[in-house]
Amino acid sequence: MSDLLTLSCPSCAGLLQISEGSTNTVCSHCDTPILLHGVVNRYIVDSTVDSTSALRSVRKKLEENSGGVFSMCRVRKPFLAYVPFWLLSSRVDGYVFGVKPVIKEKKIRSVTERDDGGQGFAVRTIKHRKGVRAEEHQISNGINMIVSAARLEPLGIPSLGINSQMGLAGMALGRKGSRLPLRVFDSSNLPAEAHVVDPSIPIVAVREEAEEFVSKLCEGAGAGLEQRYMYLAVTGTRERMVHYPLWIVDYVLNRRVFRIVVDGCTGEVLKGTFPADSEHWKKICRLLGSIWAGLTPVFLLILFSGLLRMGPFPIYFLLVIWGMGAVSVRFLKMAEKSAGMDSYI
Amino acid sequence: MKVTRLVCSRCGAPLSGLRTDRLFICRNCGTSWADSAEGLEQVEVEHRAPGMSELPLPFWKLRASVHVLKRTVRNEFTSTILRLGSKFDSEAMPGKLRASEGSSERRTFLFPAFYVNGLPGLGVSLSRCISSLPPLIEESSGFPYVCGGSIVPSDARVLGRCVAVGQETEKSDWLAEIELVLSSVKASLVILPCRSEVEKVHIAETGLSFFRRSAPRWATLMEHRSSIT
Repeated sequence: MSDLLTLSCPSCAGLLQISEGSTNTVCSHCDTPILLHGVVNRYIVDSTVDSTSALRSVRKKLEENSGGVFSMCRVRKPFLAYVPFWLLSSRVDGYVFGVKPVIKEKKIRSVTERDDGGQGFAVRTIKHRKGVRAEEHQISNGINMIVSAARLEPLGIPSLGINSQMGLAGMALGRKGSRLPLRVFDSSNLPAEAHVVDPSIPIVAVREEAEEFVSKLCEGAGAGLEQRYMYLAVTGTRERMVHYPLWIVDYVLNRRVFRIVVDGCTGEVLKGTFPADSEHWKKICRLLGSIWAGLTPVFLLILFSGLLRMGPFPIYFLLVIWGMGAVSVRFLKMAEKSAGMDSYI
Repeated sequence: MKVTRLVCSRCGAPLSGLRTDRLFICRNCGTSWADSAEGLEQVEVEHRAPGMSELPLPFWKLRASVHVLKRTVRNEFTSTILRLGSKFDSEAMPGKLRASEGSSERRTFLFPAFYVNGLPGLGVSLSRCISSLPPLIEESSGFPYVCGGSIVPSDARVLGRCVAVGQETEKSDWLAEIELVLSSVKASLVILPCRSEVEKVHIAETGLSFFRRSAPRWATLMEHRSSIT
């Protein structure tokens, strides 16, 4: 917090408004141009979703996944966690040298045997490798990468590493990155219900991951090339930590605790466990029960009416009862199995 | 983080630029400054854009000794039916690669001091046109307002090396591998008058241009310039 005291104008001591990535600004009070040595590297994204909206999202998702379950759940008070992520961006320029295989196609006619025993001809294309042609590609790319700055599994969220960049699709942080309304982190100005998760993954480890990620991405520029040699110049690197709001909602059902994570910017459910949807199967069981209840008097009537003494009728009767019984047992087994399976996002 | 007034240490005039700029040129005395860990560091500057320039942009000019330590080339076409590995291996194509002797020479590179897609390629072309740059403006009644410079001297050195690799690719052979270093690097900014058209930005009298959409911050730069004027 002491660092933030310097974020005031050296001329008039007015509070400075700094947007993400700014290296300089102009004091809005006295118009003095200001230089910021060493850019701010800790930001926070304000939650635009309140606890009621988070609960509404959870209810909607629960009803979609496990209809009718919400009324039976005991939902605990949601808590807002500001989860830290490292946001790295840089420019990569360079070259990829390599060779591309030259494939020659040749069409040949071959004799085939027809169904009627006669002979026919078919044209087949045969590809063969003739050699390789040298290629040089230029790389010019802006790269953004998001890596978890803390172990997030205890919160019910998988941590993000280089291989899970696509897993960010659901999170506004992944879609918008630094275009989100980032605010300089000020622990004294957080909502009362907010819990700030402390970072535990050092930037050194993240830099190593970033290096690997950059080289993986740039290999895409040389896709299809063999004997690749890359020369890369990584410049303009910016590293900042972003505390991103996530609502954690716990609920209890049948003495089991489930957890759902809601995006604090979009209100979308990001992760969660949902109890099995037993309602659907209960309906099937009720239907089966009604069918059997309706058919039992008919079966009894047939049994005592003397119809079973006539020709092959007893065999048909037994086969019908056996078939219907087997189908009912099968349905009940499926219901039992499905009722015990939770679903995950 | 330290917060200081952004003023020219030579004449005391206020400096300004885009919020993300890291290079500043004083409109009053023409001195150029680069943002560094220690504060503002003075950088040599060549003013080649007159005071009334429509769109003066900063470029880096690097004079350096280029030492090529390793240079291996290959034929444009090699006849082989073998599938080769994805990573370069000098042993994979025996007899098909030619390594040349190391060399050292003094070269001058010119490339944008702002990010633009295809920067190394543009740098290679610009470095060829150094002799056709507009003349130096020694003393001026006022210097043009220059903004958009976001590549600091340390990054310029890294990019200079990349442009040097680009120059090697321009030779009429096919590079397989290259290792080079730059030494005795002397970096200075060059302010060139540019002209913006619908799609392209033309650079001074070089006859070269780049697409506006290839510069990530072009829209912000133009907005800022129009707000200043």
